[in-house]
Amino acid sequence: MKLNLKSEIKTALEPPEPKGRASFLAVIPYPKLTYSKFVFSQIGYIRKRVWFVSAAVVFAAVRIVCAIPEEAKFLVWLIAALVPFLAMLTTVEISRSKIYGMSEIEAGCRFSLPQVTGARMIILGICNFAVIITVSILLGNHVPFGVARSALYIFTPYIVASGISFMIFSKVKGQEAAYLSAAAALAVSLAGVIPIRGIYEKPLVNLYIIAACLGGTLMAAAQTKKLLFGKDSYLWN
Amino acid sequence: MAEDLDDIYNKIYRYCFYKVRNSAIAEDITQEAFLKYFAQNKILKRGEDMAYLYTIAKHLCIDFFRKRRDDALTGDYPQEDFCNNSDTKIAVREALERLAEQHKEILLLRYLSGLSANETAEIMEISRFKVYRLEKAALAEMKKYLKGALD
Repeated sequence: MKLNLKSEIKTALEPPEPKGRASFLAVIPYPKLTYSKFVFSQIGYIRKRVWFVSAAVVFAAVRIVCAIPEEAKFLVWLIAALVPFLAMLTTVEISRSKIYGMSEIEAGCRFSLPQVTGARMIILGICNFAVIITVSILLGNHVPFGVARSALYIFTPYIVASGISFMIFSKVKGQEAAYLSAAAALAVSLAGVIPIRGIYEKPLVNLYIIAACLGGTLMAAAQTKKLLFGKDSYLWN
Repeated sequence: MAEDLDDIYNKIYRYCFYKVRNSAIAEDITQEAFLKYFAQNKILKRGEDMAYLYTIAKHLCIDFFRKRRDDALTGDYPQEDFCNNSDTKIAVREALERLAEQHKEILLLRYLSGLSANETAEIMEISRFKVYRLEKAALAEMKKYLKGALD
């Protein structure tokens, strides 16, 4: 008879259900911060510059579209060149504890590095996504290629810059990672700006942009997984 | 990583239940271990903290048996059985009973409580390599006993 001994030991020694667990844990003096409260508490720790850049992107889009709606197509291009810096700021913010070697200080808190990083990712991800969607809707109504393509053009440099920045932070330690990340954001931004203003009219360009978007998404997803569940995530434990 | 308090409670309770074989007493010991732990600490994380909690529970179980021995006339505690009673489960329990105390402890911590080798090493105050060695030996011994019982 072939037995999975490890699971058999566990099931064979399963005790009767404890009766007083809920009532005991309800009165035990333990800091009962819920995960949602913890996520909200992280908003206060995100530096003002991130919120400022996000707000500036939306504000610029609103102002220019209101002032000169015929230049909305140019604005898509301009915003697409700006979002890599937003991605860079976001990545730096997420990886802040790594840059400044804060793990020892933060190890004193109840939540671990992956939980703190995950919470900041959720907050900044939602914020950046809201910025991109808002700007895309705003601009999409004034450009011939519509909201979906505007969103794609703006989202692609953002996600590519995010993916590259996360990769830099996983490979390079300390302050240098922030500089390299800034350089990567600049490179992605320039890659979108240096070609010509009429880039979106070229048929093959859309294919390249979709490929870059998928590539960037995959890279960002892989690096996020590594950051949250990889070997580095056990640093504090 | 900060673990769910419910899970930790269940793990300590399982450990204590295996030691004392009575759910009410196991629960009392579990709760006492928690109170003792939180009297000195504010947070509970995996690793050293968990090892400390297990050590408190282990000592409380030892105290329980010591007190029962001293109080033999009134110490009439009913023994309860585990949840599962199929032939295999009974054979596994009997095989576990026949193991050396250290082997039993290793399997209890590693498989019943689901602790890592590091945590087990901290609780048992042995090296991680010794944990692996003992675990391997305990499993081999268990298999030997089970082979005889289930064939």
